[in-house]
Amino acid sequence: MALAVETNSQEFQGLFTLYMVIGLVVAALVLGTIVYAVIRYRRRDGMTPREARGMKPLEAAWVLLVGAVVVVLIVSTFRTEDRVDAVSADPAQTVRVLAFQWGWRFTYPGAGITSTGSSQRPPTLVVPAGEPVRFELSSRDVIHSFWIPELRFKRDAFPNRVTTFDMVFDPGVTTTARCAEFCGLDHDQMDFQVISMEPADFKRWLQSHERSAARSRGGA
Amino acid sequence: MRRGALMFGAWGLWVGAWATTLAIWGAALVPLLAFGGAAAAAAIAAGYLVVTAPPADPPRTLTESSAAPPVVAAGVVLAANGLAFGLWLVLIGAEVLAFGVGLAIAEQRRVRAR
Amino acid sequence: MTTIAPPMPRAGPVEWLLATDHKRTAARMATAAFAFFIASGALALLMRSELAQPGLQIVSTDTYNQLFTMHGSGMIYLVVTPLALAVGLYFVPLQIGAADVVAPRLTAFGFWLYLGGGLTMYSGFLTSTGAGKAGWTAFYPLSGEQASPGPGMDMWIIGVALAVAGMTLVAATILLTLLRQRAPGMDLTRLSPFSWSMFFTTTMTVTSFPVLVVAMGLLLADRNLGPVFDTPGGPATYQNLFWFYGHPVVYVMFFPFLGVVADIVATFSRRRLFGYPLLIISLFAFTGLSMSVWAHHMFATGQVNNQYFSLTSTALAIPAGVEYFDVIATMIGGAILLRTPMLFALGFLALFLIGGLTGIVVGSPPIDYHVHDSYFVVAHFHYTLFGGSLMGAFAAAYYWFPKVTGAMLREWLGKVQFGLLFVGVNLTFFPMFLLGYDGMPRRVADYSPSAGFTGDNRLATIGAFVIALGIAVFIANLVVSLRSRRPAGDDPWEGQTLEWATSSPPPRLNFNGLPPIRSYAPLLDERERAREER
Repeated sequence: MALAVETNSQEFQGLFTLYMVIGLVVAALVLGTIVYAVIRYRRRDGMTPREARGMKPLEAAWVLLVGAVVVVLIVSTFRTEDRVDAVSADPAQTVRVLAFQWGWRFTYPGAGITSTGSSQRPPTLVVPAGEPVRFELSSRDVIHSFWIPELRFKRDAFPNRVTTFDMVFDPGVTTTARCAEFCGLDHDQMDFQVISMEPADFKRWLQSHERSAARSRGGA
Repeated sequence: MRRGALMFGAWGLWVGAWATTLAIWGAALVPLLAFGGAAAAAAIAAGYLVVTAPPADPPRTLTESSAAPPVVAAGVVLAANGLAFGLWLVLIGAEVLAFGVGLAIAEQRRVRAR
Repeated sequence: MTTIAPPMPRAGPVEWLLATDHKRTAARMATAAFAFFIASGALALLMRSELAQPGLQIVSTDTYNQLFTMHGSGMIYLVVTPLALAVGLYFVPLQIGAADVVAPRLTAFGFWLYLGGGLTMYSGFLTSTGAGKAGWTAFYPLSGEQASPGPGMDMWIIGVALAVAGMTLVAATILLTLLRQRAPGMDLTRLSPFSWSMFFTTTMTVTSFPVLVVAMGLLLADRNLGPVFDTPGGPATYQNLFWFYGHPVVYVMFFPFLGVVADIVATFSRRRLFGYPLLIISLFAFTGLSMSVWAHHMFATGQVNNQYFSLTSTALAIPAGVEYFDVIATMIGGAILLRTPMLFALGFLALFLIGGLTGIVVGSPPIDYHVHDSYFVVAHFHYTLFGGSLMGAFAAAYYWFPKVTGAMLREWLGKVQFGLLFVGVNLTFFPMFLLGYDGMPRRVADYSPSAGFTGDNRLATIGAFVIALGIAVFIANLVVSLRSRRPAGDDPWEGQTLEWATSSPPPRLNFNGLPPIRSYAPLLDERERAREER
C-alpha cells in the first residue's frame, strides 16, 4: 500500500540516521585525534615540547565546520518537526485518550466506542494506517506519557488540559505501548496494545464495535 | 576587581540577549520572568560592583574557627524541618538560630576589638 | 603579598569541624559529598540488582521508587554539585594567590546548610511513608499532597531547598573571591583555565539555583497551605521553574572538572594550554547559552517553544567543539606523561564526548519524542555525569591529593581503578542506549520478560558491579596512601599554576611568598626563565 504521507516512524528514521552518521563521524575524528596525540607525543627521553605553533587557521576551520553542522542539524530538525507536529484539517479518525493511575481509556467519539484498560487487562488501541489520526490526550490525575515505541513517538498527558496531535501509523502494526512519565506506584504496569489496519478494515472494525456497543450500552 | 565585575556583567547581558530572543519568539510569562530576572540580577550586581568599586583585598582579620556557622545552620535546618513536623520544631529551630546569631555577633565584636 | 604564614596545625576533631579556613571547609564538603556518593551509589547497586532480571526479586515497587529518587537526588544535589564547588573552594584562592575566601564563615554556613539538607532528605527513609519517591525532579501533581502524602516527601522538598541554598552561598563567596582577592599581578587574563571555569560555574550557580529554592518553597506551600500549581498551566510552570535550575546545574557539575582537566592536560603535556583566549570566550559563551536551553527537557509536553530550545541546545556544540580543540591541540606537540591524573583526564575527554554527542541527538525534538523518558536519556546523562564529571573528579583527586594531604596516591592502584571504571562505565551505560531505543522507559522497577530487555539489563548490572569494584579500589588507595605515606613535596607534577608554589598542604594563609605572575602559567614561566639563564 503506497502511503500518501510519511508515518511517524519514517520521519524519525530519516532524522535519526542523519544525526547518527554525523555523530559517529565526529566521534571517530575526535577520538582518533586523541589516540594519535597520545601515541605520537608520548614523553620519551630528551623530548622537549614544541612552542605553541600556528594552529589558529585550523581552529577557525573547525569552528566553521561545527557551525555548519549545527546549521544542517537545526534545519533538518525544524523541517521534520514541522511535519511531525502538523495537525491535519481532516483527520481520518479522532481518538480521545485519557491516562490515569494506572491505565488508559480510549474513546472513539462519534462511534460511541470506549475501551478502558487496567494493568491486568491492557486495552487495545485500534487505528487506521497511512492517514492522520487525531489524538486528544488528557490525564485524570498526574502527568503520564503516551508512548508508542514502534512509532517512535510520545506525548505527555496533563491533567485539566487536552493535548492535541496527529499521528500517521505504518500498516500492519501490532505492538506494545506504554506510559513513559513516572506516575507513581504502578507506572510500570500501564501497557497498552496498538493495532493498525488498512482503512477499509478499520471502517469495518468501527462499524462492528459500534453495533456491539449500542447493544450493551453501559461500558465505562 | 572592576574588570571581573565587568566580565560578570557582560555575561549577564549575554544571557539577557537570549532571554530577549525567547521573549520575542514566544514563551510563557513565568519562565520569561525567571530568565530575564537571572540576567538582570547578574547585570545589576555587576553594575553595582563596578560603580561602587570597593577596594579589592581590604585588610581584614580572619578567624581561626567559629561555632556560629554550624549553630545557625542547625537552627535553620531544624526550623525548616518544623515546616513538616509542626510549630514546636520551628520554635526549637528559632531558639537555636537565635543562639547561633548571638554567637556570631559576639564573635564579630571580639574581632573588631582586636 | 608578604604574609608570614604559620604552617597548618594538625587538627583535632572539634577543630576540624569548626575551622573557618577555606581549605578545611572544602575538605568537609568533599568528605560529606563522598559519603553521600557511597550511600547514593549503594542505592544504584540495589536498583541494578533488581533490574538484572524480570520480576521483583529484591525490593517492592514502592521501595524501588524511593531508591531511584534518592539515587538521583543524592548524586545531583548532594554529591557532584558539592564536589565541584568544594574543589573550587579549595583551589581557587590558591590559584589566585589569596589567603582565604571573601567570607569564610558564610561559606562554612553554606556547607552546614547543605549537610543538614542532605541529612533531612535521607531521613525520609525513616518515616512511615518512606523517603521522597517522585523522582529527583518531583514533578507536580505527582509531588503534591494527594499523590505523594506523608512527611517523607515534605522532608525531601525541605532538604533540597536547604542543600541548594547552601551551595548557592558557597558559589557566591567563590565568585566574590575571584573578583576581589586576586594577588597583585593576577589579572583576569592570567587566571588558569580551572579558575576561569570556576568563574563561570559560580555565575551560573548564583543566577539559577535561587529559582529552585523558590520552586521548592512554592511546592511545599502547595502541599500544605493552598493551591499554587493546581491550575491547568501549573504543572508546566513547575517544570519550567525546575528546569531553569535543572539544566544549568548539570553544567555546574561539569565545568569545574573540564577546567581541572585542561590544567592537567597542559601540565602532563608540559606545555601551555593552546588557544587560551578562545577557550575563555567559549567558556563565557557556553555557560551563558546554557541558561537558555532548559525547556529541552519539556519537548514532549507540547507546551514550550520547541524550536527556540532546540536551536539553543544544538548551538552548544560550537563552544564545546572549541574546548575540545584547545585541549587536544595542547597535547599535539607536547611531551605527554601518562600518569593517573592524565589517564582520568583522557577518560573524561573520551566518555564525555559520547555523552555530549548524544546530548545533541536528544536536543532534536522529533528524535526526543521517541527517546525522552527512556533509558536512552539515562545513558546520555550517565555518560556526561559519570564518564564526564566523575572521571574528571577522579582526575582532580589524583592530581590534587598530594597538595591537600602532602602524600602521593599509589600510581598502580590508580591505573587499576581507571581501567575498572572505564570498562564499568561503558558496560553499564552503553546497553542503556539500546534499551531506550527499543522502548524501555525510565523509572520502572520491573519489565516484561517478553519485552526483550533482559540481556542488556544483565550487562548493565554486571557493569555496575565493575564500577563498584573500581570505587573500592579508590577507597583502598586512600587508606593505603594515608597509612603508608610517600611525601609529595611542594610540586610533584612540575605544575604550572600557583597552588604548586607553596607547601603540601599549604599553610593557614596559603603562601609564604609568591613568584612573579606574568601569565596563566606562572610556574612554567619561572622554569623556562631559569633554563634560559643557565
